[in-house]
Amino acid sequence: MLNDKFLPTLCTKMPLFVEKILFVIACLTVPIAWGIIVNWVFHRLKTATPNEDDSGNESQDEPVIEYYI
Amino acid sequence: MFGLLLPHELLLVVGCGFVVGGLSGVFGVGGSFLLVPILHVVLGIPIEMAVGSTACQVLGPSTAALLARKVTRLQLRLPLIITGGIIMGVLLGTLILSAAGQFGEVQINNRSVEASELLVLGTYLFMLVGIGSFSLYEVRRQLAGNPVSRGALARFKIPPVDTFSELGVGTLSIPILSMFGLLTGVTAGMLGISGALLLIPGLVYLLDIRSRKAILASLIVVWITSFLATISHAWHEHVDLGLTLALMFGGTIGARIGSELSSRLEGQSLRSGIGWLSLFAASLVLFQFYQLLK
Repeated sequence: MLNDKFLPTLCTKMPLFVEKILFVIACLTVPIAWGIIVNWVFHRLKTATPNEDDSGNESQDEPVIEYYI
Repeated sequence: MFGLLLPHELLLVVGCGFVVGGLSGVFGVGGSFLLVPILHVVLGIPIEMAVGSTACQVLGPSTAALLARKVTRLQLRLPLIITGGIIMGVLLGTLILSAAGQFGEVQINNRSVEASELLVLGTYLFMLVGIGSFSLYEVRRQLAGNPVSRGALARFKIPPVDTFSELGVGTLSIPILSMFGLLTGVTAGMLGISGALLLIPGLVYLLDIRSRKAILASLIVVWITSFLATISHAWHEHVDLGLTLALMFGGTIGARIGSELSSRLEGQSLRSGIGWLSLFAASLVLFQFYQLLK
């Protein structure tokens, strides 16, 4: 009796639940993967080009530029 | 969701991401506070979707920025304490937004206005005008040789307290830090902003933490906040991955160019730039209010 009602309900609701979980995972994975790739690319570019800016021209404590947080 | 926008609209979003990313790179603050009003007012994207997609895209650049630094275990202490409040705050913020969405429409001036839109735009306006005015006031006081006093919240020693010598400050109250996190989380969850716009001035001026340390702490908090906000918004189907990707693509290139330009500007110019930028975003929100109520 329970199975007659419970199982079909479970079967119709599960895909939506799973779909939501997968969507949440995708929404987390896509930007984090993007961040890892961007970091890797910039790291490669930095190591590929000779560093000409190491002349001790550091800015003072106030404005530290953190890009696009 | 995927495919909220047509291809030519996606190009426009990439362009917006580029411009906002460029400005963010120049001024060193998050772009979310500009992106949501632009996506909603200029491109007509529903406010919940603009908020959710913006919160999701913040994860990309904040991951890249965090990976580029070496974070020690000790440096995680303050951000993790603030995160306690932020977790509750983000959940509360998204719940408030969802509740406002379910509330439907309200009548103002014989016009039907979405309650969620009214709530988000109202909070945005209040926050942007506050931050913009404070930034300009602070620069003016600095130029006059009378800088704004710091550490208003650091003076409250509600127990338990702990010493944060790694941040160059004395003892700070844990409940005060948690409440600070809660308020930031509510705003971030509700508005889809990363929270850095509130966190950095809060840590610097209210808790008297030096700028560099505050930025690193804020970066860690922003990553956690956007991670949680993304889960919550994605669960409520308020994220469009196409929109998110377009924003990240344009934003990354723009931010890179912007951060190159920023090295040529002085601290005071940057801070007054943030002030004017906030007031510009506030004017966009005000325009949207006018459109809604006229």
